Amino acid sequence: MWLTILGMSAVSYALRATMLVTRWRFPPWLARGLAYVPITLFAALAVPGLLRPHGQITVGPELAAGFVAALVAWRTAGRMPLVIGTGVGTFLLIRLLG
Amino acid sequence: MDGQTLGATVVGETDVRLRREWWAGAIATLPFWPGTALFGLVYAVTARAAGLSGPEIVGMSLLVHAGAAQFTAVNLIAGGAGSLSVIVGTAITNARSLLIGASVAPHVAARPLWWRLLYAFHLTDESFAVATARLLRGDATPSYVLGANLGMAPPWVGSAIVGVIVGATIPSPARWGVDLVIPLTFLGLLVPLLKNYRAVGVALCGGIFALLGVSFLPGTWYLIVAGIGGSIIGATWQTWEERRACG
Repeated sequence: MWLTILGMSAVSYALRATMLVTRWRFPPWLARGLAYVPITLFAALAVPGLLRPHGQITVGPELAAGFVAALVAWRTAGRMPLVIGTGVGTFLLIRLLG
Repeated sequence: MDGQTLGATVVGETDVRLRREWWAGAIATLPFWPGTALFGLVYAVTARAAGLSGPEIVGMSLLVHAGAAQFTAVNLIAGGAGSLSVIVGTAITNARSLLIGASVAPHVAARPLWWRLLYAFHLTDESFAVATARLLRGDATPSYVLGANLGMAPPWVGSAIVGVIVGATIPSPARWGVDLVIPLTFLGLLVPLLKNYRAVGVALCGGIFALLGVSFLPGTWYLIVAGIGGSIIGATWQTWEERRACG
């Protein structure tokens, strides 16, 4: 695990330092593409856990939790305690009732 | 003699000013501390549930120092991914550091190489956000941006330590919906970015790519496909709309 952590550290550091210590400036198309990376990536990291929690696409408590949490995130501009709290709360409530 | 005294006074004053600027930068990060601390706490508890040890959890916060990348890593480790997959996942999640580096680069270009190498180590979204206000005003000193960088370390690393201790007291975390925390966290990060219909479209594409990738591709490939595919669609869409608006 420590080897993984050191690898993660090296990669993160290289990405942070590249533009600060080299004269390289990326072409406009690349800058434009990089600006969309957080949006597509955060969606990619959220969706499978909510829609495919046990290895197949399931419309279940996880998806309901995601729906509630997304609404809360939208109304509160992404206040994390509320987003996670209402999402996990919805999940536990459905499991308790169902 | 007079000249010497004068010289010493000037150096002393510069030192005091540098230190004051450094502290001003560090203090400017305080509004981010509660959110960061909570994020770090959640990170440590989920990382523990994924099987990481206390020193590994805190070490990762200290050495990688990137919230989204560490959550991605925990997500992948929990799913049984190998070392290479996790490192690739970190690279994709932190690709946006290139953009941040590019924005800061002109303002620190005059600093020595060792200083820039030091500065890069703990450069985060939050410290960049703090520095941006002054960078835009044109009066950001290098000490200030360095202070803003290091100001984010205590809440992030400290909360990981607390999270490791607290996490040890939670029996069978999966029963309490801990598995859901990571996807919900990313959802919470995503929603505020959806400022126009194009962003919504890109997010939908990213989600669909990820679902397909997770079903048919090994390891971290779903992140690569979604990361590259989604950003190509976003950039092409934007270019196409701008051309149409001009023509």
